[in-house]
Parts: sequence; structure tokens; C-alpha cells
Amino acid sequence: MNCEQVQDVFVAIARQEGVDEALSTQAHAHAQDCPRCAAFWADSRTLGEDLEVLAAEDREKLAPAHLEGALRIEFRQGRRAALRRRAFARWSAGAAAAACLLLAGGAATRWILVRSAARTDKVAVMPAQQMAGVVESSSDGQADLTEFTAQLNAWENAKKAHELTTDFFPFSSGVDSAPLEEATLIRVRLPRAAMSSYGFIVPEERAAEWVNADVVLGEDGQPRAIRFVR
Amino acid sequence: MTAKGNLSPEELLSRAAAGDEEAFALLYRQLQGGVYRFALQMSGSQNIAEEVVQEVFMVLIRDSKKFDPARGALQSFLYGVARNHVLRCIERDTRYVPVGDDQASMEDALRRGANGVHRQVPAGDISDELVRRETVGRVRQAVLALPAYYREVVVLCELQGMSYEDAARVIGCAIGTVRSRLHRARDLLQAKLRVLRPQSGENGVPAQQLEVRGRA
Repeated sequence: MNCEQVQDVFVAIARQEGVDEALSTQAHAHAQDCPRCAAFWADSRTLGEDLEVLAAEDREKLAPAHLEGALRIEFRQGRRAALRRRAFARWSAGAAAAACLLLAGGAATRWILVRSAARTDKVAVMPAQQMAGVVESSSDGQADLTEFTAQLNAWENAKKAHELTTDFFPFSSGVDSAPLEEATLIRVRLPRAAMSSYGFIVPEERAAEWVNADVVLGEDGQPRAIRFVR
Repeated sequence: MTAKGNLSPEELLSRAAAGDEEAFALLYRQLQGGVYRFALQMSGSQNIAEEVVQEVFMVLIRDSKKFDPARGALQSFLYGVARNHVLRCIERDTRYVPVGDDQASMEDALRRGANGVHRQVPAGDISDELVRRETVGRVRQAVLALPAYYREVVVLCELQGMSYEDAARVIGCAIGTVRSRLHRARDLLQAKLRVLRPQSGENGVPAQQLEVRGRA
């Protein structure tokens, strides 16, 4: 046993940690031949006694009685606040659930309406100037859009029976002429003068008037055909 | 005493969290003494000790979910909260100089018993009582003079009788750290007490005691 181990044992003895009898005997035997450890043992014992006196002095000390009363008041107030919070949370949860139901119902209705509308057409508005450029750049086309435009015409005729429309005129210049599987129909406004490109006679005095037109856009976003609406 | 008196602190806390005020009061009575003494021995201030007790139990009132039984006993948790708060208070109070006779009133309060009444000493035991008081004052002074990280291990392990394991849990360090800090703290305490120990008069009786005997 070296001095450090002996001193650990002495600390443990002084702290009444229940040190093994053999270890204790060994440590004391060491201290008989080691003045430093003997002094340490004497100091440890004195310190242990002194600390015990202080611990005993404080052992019965308690917080003042008024603290318990103050804490009980806090407890009651905290309890009331917790109940209020719980009630509010319940109310909030109910309100949130109702709001969610309303939103879900609204969203479902809207989805059904949009879906049924999407079956017939997809309408958006493209700036007239942009569309005018598209129309001007196109020329007589021979794209094979006959079947698709016929379907579109049928949908449109059913939906917009009150509108008078021309047939679709395909664009051909620089545009993929493959059959369309899906297309978007957009409503635009054009100067009436644009109709002359498709063989319509446009009086000069009405050339600046605006007319409605439907443009078919392919999946690639390119215009494929146009028709005029009145 | 109701059946609640036999419940563990953890069970009482769980009842208190459900709104049982009586369970909270029992829990307070079970645990406030240790927390109060710890704070008092750490700070040497009755005011700080009261503040710490209030803060510790307010934590239980406001947010008892902070206590996780998997991480140790409720008592260790409370000591941990108390430790953090007392260290903050000590840090805060070192910035201010006490006004008036604060030190004297603190010492007076520390001499009082559990119910705040001065201890009654039989006439024949006056000299023993004086020695005891002198020892208490000297040891308390030496403990309070230790740096906080040594003081807390002395208070927890020596004065509160906590095991190294529980003290390590309270402080949030390894058991070996507690052991080595306590070893070093005891060395420092012994050195301080050697300085503070009064010079012995005749037959090893302290000079203060001889003076009192002379008057008697």
C-alpha cells in the first residue's frame, strides 16, 4: 500500500464509509512507519469530527414555515392556470378540427369542380402581344391535328354553345407535327387584323379591333392551332 | 397520517402534478429540509437558502415534467436545481456589498434551531456549548471560504451525507471527479482550519473557554 492509497482509506474511514477491516489494519500499520500518513490520519479524524459537529448543528434546520404557505398558494394558482390552459387547448383543438373539416370540404368541392372543368378545357390568358407574335410567325399549316381539333371542337361546342367559333387553323412552321395526346386550350385577344392571315376579310376600319381567339398549346408549350371566337 | 405519508417522493410528485395539493405539501415537507440546508451551507445566507427552496419547488409546480425518473431520484434532481440556483445567487451577490449588520444576523440565524428559537443550554454545559459553537463557526467559515466547486462536494458528501454517486449526479460529473475534488477539498479545509483553530491555553482548553470560566 502506498501513501496515496493509505490516505484514501483514511478518508473513507473518516467518512464512516464502512471500510474493510483488513484494509483499515493495513493502513494503520503503514501510518505507524510513515509520519506523513500518521499526520494525515490525525488531521482527517479531526476534520471528520469537526464536520460532524457542523452537520449535527444544521441537521434540524428547516425552511421557514411561511414558505410552505406561499408555495401552496402558488400551487393553487398554477393549478387554476393549468386548468384554464387545458380548457383553452381543448377548445382550440375543437375549433381547429372544425376549421380543418371546413377547409377539407371546401378543397374537395373545389377539386371536383376544377377536375370536371379540366376534362373539357384548360383556359388561361396569354398576353395579347405575345400571342400576336405567335400568330404572325405562323403560316399555312398542314399539321396533322385534325382528330384532336375535332375533339376539341366537340367539347367546345357542347360547352360554349352560345359562342360562334371558326374551325381550328393549325400552325405548321417550326412546330412538331406529331399527334397530340394532351393539349392546353388558352383564350387570348388579338387584333382583328391577325384574322387576315387565315383568309378572313378584315375591313380596314376594323383592323385595330380586338377579337377573341382560342389557341391550342402542345405538351411542349408550343402553339399548334388557333380558332377565332365571336 | 394518511396513506399518502407512505408514498415515495416520486409518487407524491405524480399526484401533485395531477392537482393533489396535499401530495404537494407532503412532498415539500419531505424534501425541503435537505434543499434548505444545502443552500444554507453553500451560501451561508438564510435569504439565499429561502429563495432557493422557493425556486426549486416552483420548478415542480410549473413544470414537473422536467424531472425524468430514468435519470435518478427526485431528491437528486432537486439538489441539481438547487445547486444551479444557489451558484447563480452566489455569483449575483458577489457583485453587491452587504448593507448593515447582515453578517451578524446571518450568524444569529444559523445559531437558531429548526423553529427559529435560540437553543436552550443547561448552565453546566455552557463551556461545552461554547466549544461547540466555536467549532461550528470555525468549520462553517472554512467551508464557505472554499471555492464553489470544492465547497459543493464537501456540503453534499460530508454535511449532507450523500454518496459519491448521488453527488456526481447532482453536480453532473463523474464519480472519480467527486472523489478527487473531495480529497483536495479536505486538504484545503484542513489547512484553513489549522489557521482558524484557536491557540490552546492551559491543559489544551481554548483561550475563549478559559476566559468564560474565569468570569463564571
